[in-house]
Amino acid sequence: MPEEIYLSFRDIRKIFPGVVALDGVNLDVYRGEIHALLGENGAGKSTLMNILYGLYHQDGGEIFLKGEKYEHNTPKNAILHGIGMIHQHFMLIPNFTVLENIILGQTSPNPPKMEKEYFRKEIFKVADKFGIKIDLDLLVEEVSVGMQQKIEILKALYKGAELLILDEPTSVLTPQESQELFKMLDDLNKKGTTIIFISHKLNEVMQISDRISVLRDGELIATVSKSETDHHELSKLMVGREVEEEYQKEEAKYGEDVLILEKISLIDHHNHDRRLLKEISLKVCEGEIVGIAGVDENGQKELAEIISGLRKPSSGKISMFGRDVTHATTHQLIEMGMSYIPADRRNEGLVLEFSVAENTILETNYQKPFTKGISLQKSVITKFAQDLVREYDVRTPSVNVPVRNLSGGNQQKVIIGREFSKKTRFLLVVQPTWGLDVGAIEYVHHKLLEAREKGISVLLISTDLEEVRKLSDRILVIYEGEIVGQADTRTSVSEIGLMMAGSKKQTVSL
Amino acid sequence: MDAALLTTLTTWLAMSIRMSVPLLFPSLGGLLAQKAGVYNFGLEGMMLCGAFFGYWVSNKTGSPWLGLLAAIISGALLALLLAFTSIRLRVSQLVIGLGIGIFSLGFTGYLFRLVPSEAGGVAPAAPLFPKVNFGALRGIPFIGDTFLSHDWMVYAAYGFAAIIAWFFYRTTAGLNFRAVGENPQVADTAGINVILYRYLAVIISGALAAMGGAYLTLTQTAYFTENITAGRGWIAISAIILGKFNPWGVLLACLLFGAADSGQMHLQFMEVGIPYQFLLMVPYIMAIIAMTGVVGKVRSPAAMGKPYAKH
Repeated sequence: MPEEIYLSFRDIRKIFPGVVALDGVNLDVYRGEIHALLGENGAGKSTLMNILYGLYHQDGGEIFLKGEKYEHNTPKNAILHGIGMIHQHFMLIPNFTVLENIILGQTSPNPPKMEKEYFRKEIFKVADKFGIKIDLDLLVEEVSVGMQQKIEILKALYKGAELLILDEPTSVLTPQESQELFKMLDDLNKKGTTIIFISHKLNEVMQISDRISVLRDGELIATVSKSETDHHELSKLMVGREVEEEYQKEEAKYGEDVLILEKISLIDHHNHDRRLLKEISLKVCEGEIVGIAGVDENGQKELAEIISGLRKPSSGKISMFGRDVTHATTHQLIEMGMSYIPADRRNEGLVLEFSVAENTILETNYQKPFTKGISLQKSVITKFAQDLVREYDVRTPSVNVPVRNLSGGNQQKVIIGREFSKKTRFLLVVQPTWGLDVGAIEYVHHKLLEAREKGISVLLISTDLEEVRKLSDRILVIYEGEIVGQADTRTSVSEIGLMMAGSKKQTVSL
Repeated sequence: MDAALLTTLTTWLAMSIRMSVPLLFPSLGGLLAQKAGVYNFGLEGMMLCGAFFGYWVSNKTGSPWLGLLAAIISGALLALLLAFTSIRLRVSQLVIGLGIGIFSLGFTGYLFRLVPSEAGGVAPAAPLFPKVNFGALRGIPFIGDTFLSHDWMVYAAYGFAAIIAWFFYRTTAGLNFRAVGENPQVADTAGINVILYRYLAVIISGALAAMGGAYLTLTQTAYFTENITAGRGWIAISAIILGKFNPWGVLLACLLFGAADSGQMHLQFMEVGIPYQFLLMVPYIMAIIAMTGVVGKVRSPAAMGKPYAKH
């Protein structure tokens, strides 16, 4: 069957201050296919699609839609031309109803009145056609993330999308929700919708797409048919070199218990006494990595805050190195040998406006030799930072530039260098590789395994199930503030996935 | 009920309504700007300019209507400055708002000194808007004195509240407008012109604030005095919070502040033995209490105060 070209990009260039985001990209998308855009973070996948959708403007190159030149790319024009985009961060307003979110920007049949009832009927027609079931009167903030995504898709379809772009759609979903999404996309595709699917996950891409285009550093490396490629080739194309599929882990040498949590609960008194954490008990011993898997916003942040002393539990007991630290301050915990790599490196891990050197001594600045009397010892600090930058391979023009100017991977290296250069005995790590490219991810993972070999106890909290499975000796699953299951590296992804969705509870003993 | 008490109640209520109006105009203006995501901290300054130019042009031309027009133009121009700097140049909205307030205080005070005094050293009076003539209805006991004894600007202020409520919750444009203040990027991707909505919101906001100022000089005092607004532009901001960002709520909040103001004036007449300086504080203390969250959790527009940058 001869393929009809639906959309083509010709020589698209986009330059952000200091970075070439897209460098002469050529790409054809056929009508009725599911086309995956595969690449690492920062490869330019989203940028290319944002240009099509009109959120950015290209600095060079042309777009052709159904054989005609597509100019004046604005979101409004994109909608008119049947292009719908589901962004990574949903474009929904939480305190508007589903209905209000869908009709936003639409022209009423009887202006200036809103005519909700007219829109309700129209939306039902579309929802019926595509078999989507959604209660239109709920507030968006009341529904699950998976449902919000359906709302986004319905919104695009209602606006007449023939081409649906999904930007990393599974990053917020459980494995089961992802499968549901894929089924839905498959359905839509059979009913004639062309789909562009942006992802950095090989499994997904291989599961859902007809053809796959690989982007790397702003260049289109190759476009291949799914039937003519495999995981191995794709990962090589994506990263530019061979990738380690699994890590060689040394035999575990467990020592004494380091961290013990006993029935930790947290109640939010500002929000109808909601229980954020429910009787969490766990322990981590020397030389062990315990992973906590779970979908985002199930209490991970609160748990990390409590363990690091930033927040006090409502009830329960925490001990570290045999001492009761339930009421200890973060400062005391750091002095005892705790290191904390927080999820949000830009806001919690670093002071972005401070220099690299200043950031390397954020926690230890009051200690000798960094401080003498009350004055900071500039030259000592600079020397310390320079050594750290060298040892942890931080790419920065100097230690005096603001840490803001560094890439995400290098920012994370500054944090890791800082935390590892202390006498750490317990390491709390949250989302350590979020938004990093494959090279940096490998680096971070190796550092964590190194810490384990040194006998440091590590508690790893991550929403990336692959990461948790690769690194952990034991896996705990958190759901709605509760540990709902225990697993090890042999437990299958789908079983852990069920626990992450809260549909499979087991009693967990210490 | 004895007659004296009824009279007191009637005058107190009528006065509460009158005192709420110079708060209601700027509160509704501030509400419009904030709902579109821009903090208008210049309300006080815009009110002052409205009060002065309303007075001055009315005095010069003999027409309060022209005075009101001048007031609206002055407020809209100041708002345009706020809009341009905060939306286009993305300067801190707080700094510009405060700047407008300080500038207006000095500027109107200076211009007022240039107005030549009449014999006896007093400034000339401006012609005022008359009371609306309700004919026979005015004679209805209690109702007539309380509700039908005002000039048209009072009814206009309350009408604006209703119109804005209808606009926000019953029209597509209102839905779009609120979306701009909640999440401009969502609005943008839905094809809504974020920048245009924000400009319009701020400019109308300035015009309304200036009407609040002009209300003072064109219906109440007939004279301008330095700092005649006495912080009403700031109380308006707390009225918006007390009203939970809802036009009807804001209306009630303004009525409450108006009642407090008129109450303290009554207390001054009654010579209850409290120094009048303390009574004057009442509305301001209420504003502070309002800001401390007595009304529970107030959800402000999520993108309020944040400039929208497009790549």
